[in-house]
Amino acid sequence: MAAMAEVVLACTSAAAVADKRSRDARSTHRPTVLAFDVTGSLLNMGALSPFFERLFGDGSVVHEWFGQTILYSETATLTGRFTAFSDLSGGILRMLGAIHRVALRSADVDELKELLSTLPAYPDVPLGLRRLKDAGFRLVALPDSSESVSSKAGPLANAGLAELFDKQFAADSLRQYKPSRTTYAMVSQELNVSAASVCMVAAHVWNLIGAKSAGCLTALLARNGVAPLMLAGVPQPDVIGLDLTEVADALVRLKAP
Amino acid sequence: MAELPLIVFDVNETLLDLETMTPTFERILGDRSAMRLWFMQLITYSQALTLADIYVPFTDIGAAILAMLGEARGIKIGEADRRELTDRFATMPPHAEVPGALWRLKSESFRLFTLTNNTAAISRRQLAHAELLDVFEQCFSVDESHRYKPAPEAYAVVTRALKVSAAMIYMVACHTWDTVGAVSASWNAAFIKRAGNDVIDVLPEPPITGCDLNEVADRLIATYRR
Repeated sequence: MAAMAEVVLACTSAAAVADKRSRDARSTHRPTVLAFDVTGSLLNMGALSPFFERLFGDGSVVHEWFGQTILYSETATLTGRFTAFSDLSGGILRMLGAIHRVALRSADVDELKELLSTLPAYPDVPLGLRRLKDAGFRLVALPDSSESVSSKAGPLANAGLAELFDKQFAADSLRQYKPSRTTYAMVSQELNVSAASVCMVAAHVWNLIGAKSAGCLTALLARNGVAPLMLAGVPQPDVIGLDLTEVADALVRLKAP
Repeated sequence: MAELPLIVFDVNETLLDLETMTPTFERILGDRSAMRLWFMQLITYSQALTLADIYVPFTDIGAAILAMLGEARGIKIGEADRRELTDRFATMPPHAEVPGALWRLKSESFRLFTLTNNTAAISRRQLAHAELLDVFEQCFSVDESHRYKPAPEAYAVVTRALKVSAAMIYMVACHTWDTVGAVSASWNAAFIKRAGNDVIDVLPEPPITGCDLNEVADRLIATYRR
């Protein structure tokens, strides 16, 4: 019951922002290309919890690991110290091992990498993507790591979603990570469309702040209590929904008002 | 005797005890562990905004992150909560060994400075409350470049103001993102392994590490004064 109450509350204020933003966006731009974040947005990182539970005795360490990996991917971009995403995520795992005094083996790092490539899609994702594709949007993927997209055994392929995407980009092909604006600009430039016709869809607000700075539209998947960052001077998402079903509804309305 | 490097200290958690923020998170969110999550998100968003060329004062980001964490838990954050957060942050006490270690370095003729993500006003309040203002020659803030650490511009402001070569400056911090930023700006760096923090082996490791500021001060004195 407590969990349900949380969702409803989160929904109320998120929906208020979304309504206003959808009206704003409708009056200006309509997206034709949807660029999707992958890990945590389309694919469920909850599948990593048992791994962290086994190693650290606490499945919620997955949030610390992912949060620190994102923090340090930003640091790598800001300082020009590009480090491959899997090296970074493995290094963060070893750092957490040292902090929590847990002895890690290199096999643990390998196991995490394997788990990351076989994350399941959230249940709303396959239908949501197909509906958007049928509505005429071009779907592309824009994860941080090329390991998420390039191989036939990549996470999107493993989750059975690869064929829904026209193209799979990766931020690290520029030796930078999101939310660096050039990573979003790559999508519009390579597809030869204006930045404003690309809508970035992600479950992380930082990701959308970067997309906005590149001139894209943005849609927030407010999964699992994700909420907007209400801060003067920081642009808000154009669309907010609790999952891809809700976000797809709003995007389809945007496309054909 | 070798020429002495200038020592620049990070402030939040490096000199001042971040753990004293925990009761605020316990009271407002009912979750002690939310303090670490909040600080991690605060740093993540300060870097994200810098990448997006947006500047908002650090404690404003901190309040917005608290509201975001509150919304995820169905808890509304009010004005009194924001004020408590900022007041606590501006009045964190120093770690126990910090005043003694800083004065020891100063008595060995090292010139000491700070470089913080906080605005100059919050920074002054913090250091005055911790009774550390007198030990520092000058206090710098990212407020001057409007770029959060570890952006190179944040360190470049200090390098220019101190009128020495970058290699003559040491950054002392307990966060790897800060030492990586300093090393990338051609500074030297020393890392304090505060609880909840450690080095990351795939990023440049600082030449000096210690478990507290006494250990780092020992290493600096041994290297440059003996």
